[in-house]
Amino acid sequence: MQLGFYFDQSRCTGCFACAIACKDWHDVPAGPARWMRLLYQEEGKFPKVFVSHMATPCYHCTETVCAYVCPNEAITKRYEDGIVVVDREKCREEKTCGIISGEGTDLLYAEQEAPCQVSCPVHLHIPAYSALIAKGRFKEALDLIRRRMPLPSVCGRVCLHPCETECRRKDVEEPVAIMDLKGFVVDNVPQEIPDRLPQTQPDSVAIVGSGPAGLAAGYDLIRMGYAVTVFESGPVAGGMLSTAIPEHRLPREVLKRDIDYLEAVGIEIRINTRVDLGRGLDDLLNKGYGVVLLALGASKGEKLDISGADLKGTLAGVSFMQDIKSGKTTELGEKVLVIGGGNVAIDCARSARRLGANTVHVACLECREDMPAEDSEIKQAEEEGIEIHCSLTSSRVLENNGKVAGVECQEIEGLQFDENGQPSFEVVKDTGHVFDVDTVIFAIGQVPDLSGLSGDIKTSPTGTIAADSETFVTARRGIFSAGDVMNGPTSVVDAIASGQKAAFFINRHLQGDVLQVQPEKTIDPKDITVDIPADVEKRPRQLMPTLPVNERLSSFKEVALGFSEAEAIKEAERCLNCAGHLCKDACPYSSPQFADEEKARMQKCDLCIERWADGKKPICVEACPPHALDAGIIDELKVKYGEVTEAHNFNYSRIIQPSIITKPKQR
Amino acid sequence: MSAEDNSQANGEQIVLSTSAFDCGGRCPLRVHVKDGVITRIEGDDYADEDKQLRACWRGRAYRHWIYHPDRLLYPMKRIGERGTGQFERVTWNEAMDTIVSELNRIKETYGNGAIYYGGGGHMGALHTAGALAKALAMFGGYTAGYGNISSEGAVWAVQTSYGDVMVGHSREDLLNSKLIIMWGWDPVRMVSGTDAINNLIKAKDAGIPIISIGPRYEDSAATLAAEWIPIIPGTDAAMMAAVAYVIVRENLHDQAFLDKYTVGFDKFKEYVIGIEDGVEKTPAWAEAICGVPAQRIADLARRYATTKPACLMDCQGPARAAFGEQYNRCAIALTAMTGNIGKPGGSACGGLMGIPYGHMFRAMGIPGMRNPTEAGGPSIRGTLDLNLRLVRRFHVNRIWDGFLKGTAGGYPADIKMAWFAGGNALNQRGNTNKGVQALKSLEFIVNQDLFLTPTGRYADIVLPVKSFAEKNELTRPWPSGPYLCYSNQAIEPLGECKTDWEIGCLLAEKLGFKDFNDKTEDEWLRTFVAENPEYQRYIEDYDEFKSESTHRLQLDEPYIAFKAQIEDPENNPFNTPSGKIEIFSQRLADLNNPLTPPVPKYIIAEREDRNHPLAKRYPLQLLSPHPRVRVHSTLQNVDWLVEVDPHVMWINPADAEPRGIRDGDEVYVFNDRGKLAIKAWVTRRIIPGVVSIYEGSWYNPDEEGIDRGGCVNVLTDDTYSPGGAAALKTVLVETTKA
Repeated sequence: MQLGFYFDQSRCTGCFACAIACKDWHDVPAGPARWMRLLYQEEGKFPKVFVSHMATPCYHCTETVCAYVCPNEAITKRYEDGIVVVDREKCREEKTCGIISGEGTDLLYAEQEAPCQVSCPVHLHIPAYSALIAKGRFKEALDLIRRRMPLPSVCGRVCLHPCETECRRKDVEEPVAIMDLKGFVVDNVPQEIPDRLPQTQPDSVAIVGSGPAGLAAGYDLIRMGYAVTVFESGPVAGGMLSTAIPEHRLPREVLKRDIDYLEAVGIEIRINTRVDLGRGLDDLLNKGYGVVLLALGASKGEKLDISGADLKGTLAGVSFMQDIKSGKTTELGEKVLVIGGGNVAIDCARSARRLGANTVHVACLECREDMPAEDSEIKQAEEEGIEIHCSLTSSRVLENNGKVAGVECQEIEGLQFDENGQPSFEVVKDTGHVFDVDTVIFAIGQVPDLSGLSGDIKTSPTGTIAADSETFVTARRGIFSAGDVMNGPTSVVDAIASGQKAAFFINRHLQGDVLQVQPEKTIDPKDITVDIPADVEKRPRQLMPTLPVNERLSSFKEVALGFSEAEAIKEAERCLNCAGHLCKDACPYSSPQFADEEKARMQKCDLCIERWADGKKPICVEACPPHALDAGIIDELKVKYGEVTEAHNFNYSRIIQPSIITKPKQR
Repeated sequence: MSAEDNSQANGEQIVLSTSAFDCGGRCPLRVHVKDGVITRIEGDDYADEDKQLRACWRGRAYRHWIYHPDRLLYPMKRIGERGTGQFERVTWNEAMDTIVSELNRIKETYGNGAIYYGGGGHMGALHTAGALAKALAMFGGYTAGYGNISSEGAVWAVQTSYGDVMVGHSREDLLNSKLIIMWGWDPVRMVSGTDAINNLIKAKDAGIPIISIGPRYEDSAATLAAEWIPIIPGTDAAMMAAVAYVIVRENLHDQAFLDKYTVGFDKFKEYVIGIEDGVEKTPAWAEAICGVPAQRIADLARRYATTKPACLMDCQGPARAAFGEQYNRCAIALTAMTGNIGKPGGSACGGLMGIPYGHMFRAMGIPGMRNPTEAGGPSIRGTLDLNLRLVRRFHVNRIWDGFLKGTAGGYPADIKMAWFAGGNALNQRGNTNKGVQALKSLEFIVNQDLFLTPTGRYADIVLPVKSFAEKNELTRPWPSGPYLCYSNQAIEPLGECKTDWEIGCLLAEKLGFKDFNDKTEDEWLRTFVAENPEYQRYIEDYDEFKSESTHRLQLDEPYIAFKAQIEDPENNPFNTPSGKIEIFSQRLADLNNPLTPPVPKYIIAEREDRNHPLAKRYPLQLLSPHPRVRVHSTLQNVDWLVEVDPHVMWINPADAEPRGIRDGDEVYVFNDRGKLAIKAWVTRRIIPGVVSIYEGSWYNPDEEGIDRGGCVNVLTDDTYSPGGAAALKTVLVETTKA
C-alpha cells in the first residue's frame, strides 16, 4: 500500500497555513527545517501574470534514492503504508556524513558543498552520485547526473574535471576518478528514450550553434517549458565536440547518444542551417522567437604570426581535426610538429600518429606542470611515442621549395599571460633549436567566426562577442550569448555552465523580470576545511583500463575502455563524502531538512504517521483553508479525484515516482 | 479550567477556543494543553468538512505568539527617554497608583478633556476596554477619537446610500452568481469571513467567471480570477463612472429597479453623461485617468450589465484614500443600476460585506456610560457631516496633529495625557514621525498591550495584557458567519497579565468607584448570553454553548442584504430619509460641499496624486494594504509567520530596473514625512508606478531617523477624506537602493 498526497494547484492560495500548521504540530522551530514547503512560481510579463504554488513535503517516492545514499541506513520506506521514515538517532551517528568545517562561512550545513561540487562549473552532485554508484544504483546515479548535466557521455570522457583537482581524497592518496565514474554509469545504464517534455511557455528560443553551450542552454530552457530550436551550420550537431575532438577520445556514437537524448526531450536541432549573423537574426526575431542565443563557439583556428606560417605543410589545429572527423584527406607528412600545449594540441599530435606520422613533436610555451592539456592525455600521448617539449617559443618556419623544412624554436622563461590571454616571456639566449619536420600544426587557440555579424552587437578586442558578463545580454535587446563565442576558448564543462547561466537569464528576460539577481555566495574550494578522519584507509585510485598502444596507433578506437562494475563500485567507495547531506542532494525535491544546529540531523515530513492511527489525515490537509490538499491511499485518491497528472512541475527526475498526484493550475 | 475535557491518554486536554484578532475571520481552534502548556493546535473538526471553519496561517501560528519571548509579563515604568524602550518592572499597585495620581493631576490642572483615551485590538464581549472607558467616564470624562482606520470610507458610503451597515450576503450565496467582480477585494489575505475562500473557490470550480480589479495581482486574483485588470490606485471611481457611462449610453440599466427602489439616478446620469459638468465620463476619459484600456472598461460594463445576477464586490482598501468613499458610493450606484441589490447572486456593495447574524458589531459588552466631556455637543446621530462628528472628537487619523496643535489649531481639546488600551496607535495611524513628536509633547502616557509595542516605548507606564488563550470570552465573526463563539480559557495567565476589562475594574477600584463591578467573568458571560436577543434565540444552554464553543446558526437560506426591502418595499423601507436607496443624497446636497457631492463622483486628489507636481520628486504611489501574516500590527515578529512571508516592498520590474534594484535588495523608501528601510520584492504582480508595503510592521527608527522596522506609516499622512476615510493610500514616495 502506498499513502500519499493529492494537491490541487488551482485551489492553493499560497497562504502557508499548511506549512505553519506542520511546524506547530511537529514542533519544528522557525528556521531552515521546513517539512512542508510551498514553492512559488511567477510567470509571464505584466499584466499577463501567472502565479502557481507547489506543495513540497516529502513525496514518499517509489524509488527512495535518499535511502539508497544514506551511509547510516537511517532512512527506510515502510512496507505497510509506503511512508518513508527517518531514524534521527541513526542519522549521522555511526558514519560521518559531512566532514567540512562550516567555520568562517555563513553557510548552513545543508548549504555547504564539497570542494568537488564547488569547483564543478555546473555544480554536479558528485558525492551523491558517487554514493549511488557505490551502492550499485547506477540508474539512479545517471538520473541524478542528468538533472544538471546535458551531456553526461561527453563529460564522462573529455571533461577537464576541475572537481578531481579539488577532490580531498588527494590528501589521503589520489583524487577519486569522478569523471570516469560518470562515464561508467552513462555507458552501463541501458539507453532510454525519454518522453518529450511539454511546452508550457508561450515563447520559443532560437539557439545558434549546437556546441555544449547551446545544447546546455537548450536543455535547461526546454525543461523550463520553452520551445527550443538549435541551428547548426554543419552536418552534425555538437559543435567542437563533433568536429574537433578526435574519435579516440570521444567516439561519434557516444556524442550522438547524448544528442539523441536532448532531441528526444524536445530540442529541435536543424543541421546544415547557417544563420546569417546580420539579417538572419532579424528574421529569427521576426519569426516569433522571443530570444536568440548566440552560442557559436570559437572554432576558427589561429596560426602564429611568424615567417613561414603560411607555407605548404602548415595547418591550423582545429581545421586539421575537422578534416579528420569529416573524413577529408589531410596533407600530413612524416614528421610533425604541433605547436601548443592544450588539449587540441595533444589531440592533433595523437591523431597525427594515428594517421601514420612517424615522428610527432609537441612544443609549447608552458612548462610541463602548467600545460593546459590534461595530464592523462599527455601521458597517453607519450606512451604513443609523442615527444613533448616545454618552455619553447617558435620563431619561424623554415622553407624548402615552398614547403615546410623545419621549425626554429628558442627556450623561454618568465612566462605570463595578460588578461586577454596574450603571453609575455623572455627568450633565453643561444638556445636556438630546429625541429626537423615537414608538417607544422598550429594549435595555439581559436577565435569565433563572426563574419557578417550585425553591427548593433558589439564585439570585444579579442574578437569575441561583448556581452554583459553577469546577465549574458548583448548590446541588442533579445539577443544573448554564451560559451566560447563570448568567453573565448574554454573547456566543455565551462561552456555548459555558461549555457546554463544564459538559459537562466533568458528565462528572466522572457518573463519580464528584472535580469539582475543577487550575486551568488561563492567560496573558493581551496578555502574549504575538510577534516579527514585519521583512520581513512589508503585505497589507490582505480586505473582506467586503456587500449594497448599498438592497437591505438592503428585506428581511432576509443583509448579509454571504461570501468567494470566492480571497479566503478570500488572507486566510488573512495569518496570521502565531504559535505554530507547526501539524502538532500539525491532527492529531486530537496525534501530532507536540516535544522541549523550543531550536528543537525535529518528531518522531513512523515505524513503525520501518528494521526493516521487516530483516523486523521495529516495536519496540513486538515489545515488547508481552500481544501487544496488531501492525503490517502494513492490509488484511492486517483479514483476520487479523477483526471489528474503527476507532479512533474519541479521534478526533473525521470525514474522516481513521487507519491503525489496533482491537479495542475490552468494557465 | 472549564473546557471540553477530552482527557487523553497522555494527559493532554483539548480546549476549544477561537481567535479574537481584529481580523476578517473568527476561527475555531482546538488547543492542545498538557501540564498547563499549549502544545499544538488543531483546527475545526466539524463533521461536514466542506463547512469547516478553517483557521488561516495567522491562527495556526497562535502558539508562537502566546509564548513569544517578548511577551510583556509585568507592569513597567519608563526609566529612560521616551522611545528608547528603557523600562523597569513595577508592581500593579505602583503602576495604578502612578496612573491615578497623574489622572488626578491632569484633571485638576487641565480638566478631563486633556485626557485622550483610545482602544483597539481585542475583539470580544467582556474583556475589551469598555470597562476602562466607563471608569474614565465616571472619573469625569475624556476625549476620544472618531472613526476607524480600516473602513470609514465604506461606512460613510453605506450610511449615505442605505442608512445601514449590514450590506453583505452569506458567502455561499456567491455560488448563485453568474459573474463575480472582485474590485479591490482580496479575501485570501484579509479573509473577509472564515468561509469566504472556500465558497469563492467553489464558485470558480462551478464555472462562475471571476474578474479581479486592483493595482496588485492579489493572492485571491491569482487563485480565482480568470482576468486581472490592473488599475492605478485612487482612480476606481473614474473607471466606475465610465462603466456607468457605457451602461447608460447602451441603455443596459435596469430602469424599473431604479424607479422602484432608488432616488436620484437621473442626477447621477447627468454627471456621467456630462450634462452636469460638460465632461462625458467615457471609457476613453477614464482610460487617461485609471490606466485601464477603454475597450476593456466598455467590455466589463456590458458584461456586468448583461449578466444576471452579477456580484460586484468592493471592499475597504481602495476607500482609504483622499476621496475613498466615492469608490464605495460608485459601486453602490452600479449595483443599483444593474438591479443586483437584494437578490441572490447579486450584491449590495458598500465594502463592509457583513451579515447581521452573529456579527461582531452586535456583540454585547458591559453597560457603558455617556462620556461627560461630550455632553452638550451637537447631535451626530445619522449625520453625514463629518465636521459635526469632530466637534468633540479627534479624527482617528488626525490625533497627532491634534495633540500637537490642540484647540489653537481648531481641535476639540488640548491633550496632556493619553491612555492607549492596545491599538498601537503610533504604528497604525498616518504619519508616525509626527506621532513621535506628538507623544513626546504629552505629560503622561499609559499603554496596555501584550508586547512593548512602538507606542508602548513612548509610554510612562505599560501594562501587560492577556492573550485570548488566557481568558474566557464570547467572540463573534466579522464580517460573515453565521455562528457564535465561546472561546474557552486554555492556560493560566502568563506573568501578571490582566485583560483590558480587569484593568478597567482595577482603575475603578483605585479611583474609589465602589460596586463598579459586581460580577465574575463567568457571571458576565452568562449575563450576556441571557440578555442578548441573538443568544436568546439560538443558545438554549450556556454550558452547552461553552463546551460546544462554536455554535453554527442554521439559516433557512443564505442571507441576502436588503432582500426584505426589495421583495416588499412597502413594508420595508430603507433606513434613509427617502426610504429608498439614495444614489442622490439630499442630506449631502444640504451640506453644499463640492467635496461631498450628492451623487457619487470621481474627484481628483488635490495632493499626492500621481499628476501632482510633487510626483516629480516622489514619482511612485504607495499602497499600504493589510498584511498577510499579521493582523495589523498584531503578530509582529512571530517567527513562523515572518519566515514564510518576510516584510518586503512590492515593486514592478519596470520601476526596479531603472533604479538598479534587484529582488532582495535593501532599499530606502522616502518622502518628506519619513524614510524607511525594507527589502525589495521585484514582481510583475503590481502595476508600474506603484509600490506596496504592508501596514503593521513595527516602527524601529535608527539614529538617523530611518525606520529599520519598515513601518509604512512613516510615509503616510495623517489626513482624512471628506467622508472620514483615513487617506493612507494617497501617498507619493521615491525609492532607491540602500
